[in-house]
Amino acid sequence: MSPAMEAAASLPQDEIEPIHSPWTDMWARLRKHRVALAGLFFIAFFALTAVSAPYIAPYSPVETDFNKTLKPPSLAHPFGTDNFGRDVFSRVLYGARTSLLIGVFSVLIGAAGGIFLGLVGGYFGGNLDNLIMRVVDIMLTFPRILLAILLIAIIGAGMTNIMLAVGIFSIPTFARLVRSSVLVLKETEFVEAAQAVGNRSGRILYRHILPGTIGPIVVQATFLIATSIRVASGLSFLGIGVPPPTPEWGAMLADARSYIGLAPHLIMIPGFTLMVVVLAFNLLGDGLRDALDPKQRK
Amino acid sequence: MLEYIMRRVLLLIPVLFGVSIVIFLSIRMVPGDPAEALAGEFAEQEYVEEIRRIYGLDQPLHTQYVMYMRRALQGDLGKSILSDLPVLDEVLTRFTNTLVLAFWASLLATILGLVAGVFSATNPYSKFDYASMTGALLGISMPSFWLGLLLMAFFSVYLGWLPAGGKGTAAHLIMPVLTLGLTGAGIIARMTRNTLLEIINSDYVTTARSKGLENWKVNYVHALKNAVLPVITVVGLQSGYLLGGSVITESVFAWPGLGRYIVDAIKLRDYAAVQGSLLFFALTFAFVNVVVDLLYAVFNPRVRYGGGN
Repeated sequence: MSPAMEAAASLPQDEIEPIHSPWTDMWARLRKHRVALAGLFFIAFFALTAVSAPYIAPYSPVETDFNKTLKPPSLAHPFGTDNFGRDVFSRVLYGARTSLLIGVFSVLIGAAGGIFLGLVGGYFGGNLDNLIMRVVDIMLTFPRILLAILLIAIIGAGMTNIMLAVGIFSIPTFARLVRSSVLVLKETEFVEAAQAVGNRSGRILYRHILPGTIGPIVVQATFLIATSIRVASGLSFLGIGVPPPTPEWGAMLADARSYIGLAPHLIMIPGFTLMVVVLAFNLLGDGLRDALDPKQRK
Repeated sequence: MLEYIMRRVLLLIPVLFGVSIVIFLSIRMVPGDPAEALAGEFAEQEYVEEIRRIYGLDQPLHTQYVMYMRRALQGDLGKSILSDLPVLDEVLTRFTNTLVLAFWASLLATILGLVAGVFSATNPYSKFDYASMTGALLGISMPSFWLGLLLMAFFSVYLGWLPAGGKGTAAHLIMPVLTLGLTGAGIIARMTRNTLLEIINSDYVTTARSKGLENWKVNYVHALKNAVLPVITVVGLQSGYLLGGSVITESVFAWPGLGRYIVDAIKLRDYAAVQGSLLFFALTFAFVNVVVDLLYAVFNPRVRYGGGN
């Protein structure tokens, strides 16, 4: 036996990884990141809540009962009732639905737009790239929430429009991120080789460049879901987001504001769940960033 | 250096030009006829037509844009439909209020964020590091309107120490500044820690340490100097975002700032007010970005001498 084979044989079995793709690598490192796993756990928990809300909610989230307004938590109503006598527990459950849907879909919209613009601009360069980057600059000239407000003024409130308004402003972030990766990748030998054998640009972008940009995109998307959930509920808090009586945590807080002295539980619960969801995505984002960081590879 | 400043300021012009077009077109795309809104609900058709002529709303879009910009450059942003006062006056008053809030919040965010970030990075994985990074994570995850409501429930309703909203005394400032500043502090602390820690673990810092330099000198002189650049960027951008992010905080505490003005104006479809204040916001935000870039150049000779891009 050669010394190298002896060394390999003496390794503990679990350190030999037969399949070695970036994804298994990432998962292996993520699994050791306890905090990120906690984030993942909470996301799974809230996703499950969102899906099964109709089955576990004890009451309808929109049914009012004026005999039972602003009741503190009790056995019948674990989180109490709001100013319309609606069951807060049921509303919080359904609220998970609203927030997760908006968070995920708005980031998908932003990612689709941003990745496309970043790929095209970075790969082809020239005037097209210049134009795209100037548009991105203009979008970044405004704080995200202000432009979301303006956009809602134009297209109106409602679930889909909130997703659009919040999502569009992830486009610049993704576009810049992807573009900077493309600028590096398009000079690499494997892309040159793909060009040399006569592949079309679309195929090169899709098959050879896009996979190389995925890591940072996933990290950024995770953080942006956190931001988007926060911004979207902020819009609802301002009264220009999801229209009532749809259960939404930000809107619930806006309603609760008038009863801050009478029924403080109305402020505690929706705000807390909102924070935990945002926190969970931020934790997962931290974990993914560490897991994908080549400097941390041992 | 002067050439760099000039180039940076000149680059602002096309961006602001684009911004003004975007704002102008957006406002025109808002459903509803501004002339009818101006004339009132029960106005005669002739009166609506007259208003349309007076305000130039019967002209083609590009003419309207040129007219608007010509007046805007002379400081005339039109009149608010609701108060019938010049938009610029109102915007300036409101902006001063927002600036007061953003200034104190930026100060709080910067000091708290830098101190926490630097101590965490120089004592990594210590109890202090864990505590401050948990705090920072909570800061960036906590929706500002919830933090604001919690502060209000505790300090105004329960203890009765602070006024729940409005403007006037220094006490009115405390809760809005805390609400706005703590989020920013979280972002700055995380960024500072990550940047500084990376530098502390780099080869040249190890060299400095191994040739026998004292620990504090290595951390605070050699390492910190190189962490300044990314940190300035974050602090600068944060200050810019605080200007806009104050929208929600201003609404929670009924602070009469520009952010709340825009939200109210959009809800009431006061287009001149929306357009004017957005333009003003964009101008300030772009200005903050330029200042950040210039500071960047001051601290980074590579940019200053044109080596970088």
